[in-house]
Amino acid sequence: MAAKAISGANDVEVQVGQTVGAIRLANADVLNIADNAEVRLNGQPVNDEYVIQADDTIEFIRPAGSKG
Amino acid sequence: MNVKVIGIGGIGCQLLPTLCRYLLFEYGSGVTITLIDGDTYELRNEARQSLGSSGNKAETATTRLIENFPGLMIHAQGVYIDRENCYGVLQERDIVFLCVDNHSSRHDVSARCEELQDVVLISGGNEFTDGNIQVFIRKDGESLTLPLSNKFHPEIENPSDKNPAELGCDVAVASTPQLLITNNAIATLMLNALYSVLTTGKTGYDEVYVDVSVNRARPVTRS
Repeated sequence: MAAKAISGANDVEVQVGQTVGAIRLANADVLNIADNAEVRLNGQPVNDEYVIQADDTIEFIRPAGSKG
Repeated sequence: MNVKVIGIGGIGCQLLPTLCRYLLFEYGSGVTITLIDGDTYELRNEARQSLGSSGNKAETATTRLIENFPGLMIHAQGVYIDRENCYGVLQERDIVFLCVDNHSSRHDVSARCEELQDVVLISGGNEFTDGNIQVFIRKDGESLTLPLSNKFHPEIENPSDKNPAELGCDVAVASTPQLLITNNAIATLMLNALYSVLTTGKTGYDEVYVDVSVNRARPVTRS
């Protein structure tokens, strides 16, 4: 069973049963996760101890681009 | 139609030629475009900005655009937008393109637009190879999408940076290089949003992320 993790324009499939913190660590580069990025599940905040369930989509909120 | 373009840097310079050509040939001579920026163009900016001669960015760009698009009314305001002057600059029914390089200005412009009954605010920003746009639409006093300053973007809600009127943006640009291709991608997303707003009155999303290194964009609905 799979779930999805998103950050900015990027997303990856992730295995259920992992914590948000483990996903953050494993996908920091591929998802380009910002330092201290907030995590949301269906728009609601979750912490790094949350365990991913089947069909979850978690989003590491990417800050707005700062330059112009 | 009154269009305000705030910030004539890497994104603004990519946005303006297409914006002017589109508005002139789709909407004719009833369009007024105001370019707003307090910064000075220098030749060392030419890697990402195509203004051609030294001087205030808004004034230099306006001179060039008037030559290329004589059918449009184009004006310059050579000032940085800030909490005080945005009340006079931004008015009802404006379409605002915000292409600045700091969250403090995004916060102030968003707050001003929240006070207006009818306004469209399209903001873009980038890092080196990625970035996002945000679209804030107010119609008949209601917000159809989220303001720039919202719970998903605390960096805008509580900005830690300073308005360029306080801190020269040349300093910030020198410390964080930008990529012209990313500026162009952001400008394109902003124009895509304009097209949706002008043709349907809405966008269907609050923001769009883009990452040019993997050639991917993702629209996001949060409201």
